[in-house]
Amino acid sequence: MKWLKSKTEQGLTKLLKHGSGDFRFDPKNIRHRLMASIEQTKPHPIKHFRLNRVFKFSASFAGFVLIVSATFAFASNQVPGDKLFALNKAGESVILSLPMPAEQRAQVRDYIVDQRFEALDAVNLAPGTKSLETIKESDESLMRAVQEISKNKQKLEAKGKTKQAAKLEVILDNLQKKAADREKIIQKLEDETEDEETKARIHQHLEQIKNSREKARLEIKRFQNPESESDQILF
Amino acid sequence: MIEEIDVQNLVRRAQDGEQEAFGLIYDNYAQPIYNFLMSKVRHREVCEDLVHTVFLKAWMNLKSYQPRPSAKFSTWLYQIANYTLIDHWRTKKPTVELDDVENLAAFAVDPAHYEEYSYLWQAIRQLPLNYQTVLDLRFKQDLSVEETAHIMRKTSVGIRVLQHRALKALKNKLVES
Repeated sequence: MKWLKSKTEQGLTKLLKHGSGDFRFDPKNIRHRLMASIEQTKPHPIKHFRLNRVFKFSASFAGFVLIVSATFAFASNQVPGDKLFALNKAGESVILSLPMPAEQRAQVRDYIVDQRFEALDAVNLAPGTKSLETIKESDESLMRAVQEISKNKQKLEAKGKTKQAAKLEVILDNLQKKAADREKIIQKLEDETEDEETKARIHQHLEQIKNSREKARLEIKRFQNPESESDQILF
Repeated sequence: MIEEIDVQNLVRRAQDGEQEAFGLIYDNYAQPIYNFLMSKVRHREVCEDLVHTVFLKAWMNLKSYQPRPSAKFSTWLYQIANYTLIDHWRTKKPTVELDDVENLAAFAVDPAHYEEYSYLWQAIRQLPLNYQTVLDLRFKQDLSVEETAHIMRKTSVGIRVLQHRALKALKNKLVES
């Protein structure tokens, strides 16, 4: 049977060899076209080993990642008024856009406010052109933190998750205490400022910080006396 | 056909940029490459364009060609032709008229020859492209298993298996017809 099979294959291969011949075509016409194309086309230079290209690509990609990481790492130390501060804020926004539990989110907000307040402390020691920008950023970060933490706290309370809500209350309390300390610094900076327009803007931010702190304080009070309807705050 | 040693001399000259040497290489291989492509494409203009593309690709990449003891220069050319053909099937819409496909004799130097074996060509046409290619390279172009493996980027064992399956499939098609 095997012999028969191989005989069949031999027959087929013979058939294939005999059953073919040249096809008609015009080699001169193609040659003419080819030589004209060659005239306009230079051969590619000798290519290096493919791994070399892979290595080059990997190296450039790694370089890119390194530069981006280094830039973000450097930017994370940038304070309001610095050139790369916007990049620092963008990095913070990316972190905040990630899904995370309310407590962790509150801790991130608290950390951002801390960073702004540290910058404010530095400005207090050496007042200058960055003062107004630092105050503005401190005000905005505190306002956002208080709003978001209060909102999440109320949601947790509504779901009956009092333990988690209590943790947010601690963060809120710390924030309002830290803000109280910075109010004195901002007041001092306002007093020292001679330019009227800047002075007015600093004053405006100071009032907003006081307002945020008051909201945080009232939210804590409401939590401790949940039956007190008059103290309830809704953002 | 020029001897392989002379082909390698032409290749070296062409690698140095001598266009006429490449022209001689073309003269030597144009017909077998055209035959290889035509038996699958079955369309004169398309096939001529493909031959032009194959040799232009060969010229452009000639400096990367390195002679190997186990493979002739033609192996490299068939490899380019095979991939050009695969690219053609992949990217181009079929433009071949059915009548042209059925009748390979219309393109043959000796039409009577193809008419005699028309049943064979109709059966081959129905096989998958890789079956057609392995049968073409092994039996029509008379290339070794190693050379065919090199062209189709498979192992020698893979080619033997593919060849066996292709012959079996061809036999079945012939029996059916």
